[in-house]
Amino acid sequence: MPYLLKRVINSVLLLLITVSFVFFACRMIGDPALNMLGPGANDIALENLRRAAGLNDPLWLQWVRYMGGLLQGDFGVSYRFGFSVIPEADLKDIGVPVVDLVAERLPATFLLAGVAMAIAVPLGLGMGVIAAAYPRHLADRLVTVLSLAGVSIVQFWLGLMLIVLFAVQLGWLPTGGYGEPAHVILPALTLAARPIGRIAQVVRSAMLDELAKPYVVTARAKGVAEWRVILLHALRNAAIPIITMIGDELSALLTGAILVEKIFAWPGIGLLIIDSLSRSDLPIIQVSIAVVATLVIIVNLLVDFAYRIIDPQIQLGQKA
Amino acid sequence: MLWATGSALAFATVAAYAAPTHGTLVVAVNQEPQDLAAQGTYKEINATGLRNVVETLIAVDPVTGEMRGVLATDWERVDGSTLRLTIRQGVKFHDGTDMTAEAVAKSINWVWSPEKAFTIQEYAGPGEITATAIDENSVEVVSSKADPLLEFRMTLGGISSAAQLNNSPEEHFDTPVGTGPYVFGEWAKGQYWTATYNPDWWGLSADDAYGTTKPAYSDLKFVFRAEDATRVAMVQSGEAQLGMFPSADECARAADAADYDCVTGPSTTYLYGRLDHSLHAHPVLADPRVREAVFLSVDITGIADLQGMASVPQGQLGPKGTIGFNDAVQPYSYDPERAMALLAEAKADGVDVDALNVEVVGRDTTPRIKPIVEAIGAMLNISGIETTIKVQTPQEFNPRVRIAGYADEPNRQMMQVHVKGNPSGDYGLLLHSNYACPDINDPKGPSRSSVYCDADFDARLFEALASFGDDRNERMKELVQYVHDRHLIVPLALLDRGYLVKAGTEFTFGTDHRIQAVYLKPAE
Repeated sequence: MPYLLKRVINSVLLLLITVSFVFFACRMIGDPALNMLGPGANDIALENLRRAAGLNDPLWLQWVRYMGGLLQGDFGVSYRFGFSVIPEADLKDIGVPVVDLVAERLPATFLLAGVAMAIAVPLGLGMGVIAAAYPRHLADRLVTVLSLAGVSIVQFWLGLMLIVLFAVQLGWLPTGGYGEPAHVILPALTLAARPIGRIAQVVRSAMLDELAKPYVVTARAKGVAEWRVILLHALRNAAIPIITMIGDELSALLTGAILVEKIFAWPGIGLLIIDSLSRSDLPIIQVSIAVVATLVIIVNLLVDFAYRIIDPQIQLGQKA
Repeated sequence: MLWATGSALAFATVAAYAAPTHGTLVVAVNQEPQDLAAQGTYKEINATGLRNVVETLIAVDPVTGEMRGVLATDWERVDGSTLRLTIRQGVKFHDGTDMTAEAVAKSINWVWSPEKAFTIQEYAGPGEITATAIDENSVEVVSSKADPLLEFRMTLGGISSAAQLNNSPEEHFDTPVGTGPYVFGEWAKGQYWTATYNPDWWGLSADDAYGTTKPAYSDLKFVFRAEDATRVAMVQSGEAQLGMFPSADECARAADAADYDCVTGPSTTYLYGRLDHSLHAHPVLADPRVREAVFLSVDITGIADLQGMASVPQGQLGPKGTIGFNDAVQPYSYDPERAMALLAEAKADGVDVDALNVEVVGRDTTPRIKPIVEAIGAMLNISGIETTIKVQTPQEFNPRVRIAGYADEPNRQMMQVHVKGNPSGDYGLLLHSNYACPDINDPKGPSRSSVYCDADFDARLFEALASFGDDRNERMKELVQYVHDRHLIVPLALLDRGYLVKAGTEFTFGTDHRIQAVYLKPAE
């Protein structure tokens, strides 16, 4: 079986398991209707919700119906998003399609992750290359300290400090929000700190390995310019772990921006998940997690194929 | 009544009012509303700013605490269950339709319909509320049971366009069409909602409109910032003129700041500890000495301090001025020695005091709940009472405070540390929801968080709920004393609310903490 097909099938299976796990977990934590409406809800509201969401049916039937809907592109309806009342007979059509809610938030998440990576990748690469090119020099030690700080720093603290400095003290940037280019800078910087540090660390380590190899010594002996040795020979050969790390960090940005989105009121999928959790809005929680899982799987697939592009000698799916 | 005021504003007619003198008022609010349906005016903390767009028939004046007409110019009691209101003439909804008596009746029936199951139902009272237009100028509101608080209930639900309710009810939830001084603009989900000054507002030419200076801002913007620190930063940086609910520390810091202040005042929200009683509770908690020992072990003053934004320790679940407030009921005193003596006495009489292990549980959405729960646990330990400490998520906590949930936990010894509000100015709602024996078949939910079953109390309560005037006040006072003597709930603190405001801004708010632009006078 071609490797691509095998990977896609594995990914679909993984997604199926993840979606099913979230589906059952959401129903294991108590009565879903009661969780959604809270202890003050009356019986009419609870029954309306159970009827509208099919929660009176056996669990297996709910699961079959849910999965069947997913396969047909029906991601369900949120009865809690935008409504403080549970739909009754004459309001049965006013539930909001979950896919619309998630699709509304995805561009903000992509923008934030994209800008953060656009900051992190060149900075991380540059810092790692410089550190590897000048081992045990001041630049190397500086990169080591900065990258360690980037990896270790608490995002919540960093975000608040950036707000205090750039919004409150200097008045250069807004404290949060969405819609203008200035809004993305502080959250993107906050998110970029960790990938900058991790990419720099991996680049440094991989480059030091490559620079010690015989082909580098040969190239230097032939008089190849040092920048060509570093950037065109060593960096290219060190690309596999670097690409893996970038993919890993991109996945983390897509899934782990929840805290940053909350601090900066960035209306991405992380904020949607937080709001949905606080409302126990199960349809949104289920779909949001499924979407995030899908994104991670896609990123991992792209990383796999990037290996082949970087090094055509790599035969994907074959044992060494 | 205790009414918090940032400043006292005089009421005056402004016949020559031209236009707002200031630009956009930006308010940093702590949560995004779930929707902007007209019913949201009843508890504006869930839909901050909505009363600028959607008005009620009657309102409680934040300065005097008295009821005043808004969309109703007058009202009279027909009998114990019927209220007749005269509708203000010449008022138009923001969609251009007339506010007729028919439209008002439609709106009331929509908001209070039990089938709609709006959350306002928690204030629906003993009966079902319906409304009928009896002529062009009057609406009759009827409760299916005698209801002394019918006037108060008309201060809660907003009146919105009947045309919208008839033609596009789905828009009612995110595009409010009211009669207020501001017209709804847009709602950017996850970010903010806006409103714009309404030059056709009826209040501009009415000499009995609420507010004084008329709308001073051309636009309103309510920006959602869930994180406390970022709301504070918005005021500090000048992005917002008003920031809701800063922490006690932030409020203290504002005293040294030149460009913003912190305004605080009491809310109607209480922090309390409810100890399991009749229903499914461990037998040891049936002994009154054991219960008293638990309550005497809690240093209420210390908990109020720990909470930070609390005004004074409380002995009852309603501020002074509430109908039924009993001056004789004082906070439980902190007396661990007496608590230990009571436990020893109970043990000597054969009570299984050794089985006492109180599970002190808070919900993680309550401010500063973790140290509060830990402190209560430590205080009980000083009196020799074993404790288990828990802070739970709403998903874990909520089912445990409903009858359907705690029926699954026999022999429980839970003290739920929780908050509850009572904006009604009357003890009826509090006594019913906190102490009436819950009935699992009762479709109205509020009483089901009670863990207390006492037929004598219930009989007296329902008589009191149907009574009026001084008789009602006296009956409620007796019941407040009754539940206090039985050590059912330990009131801990009346919570304050605070706002960061741009220096020089005069801001008037009531205990309901509504943010209405007509009560804001901008800094020059």
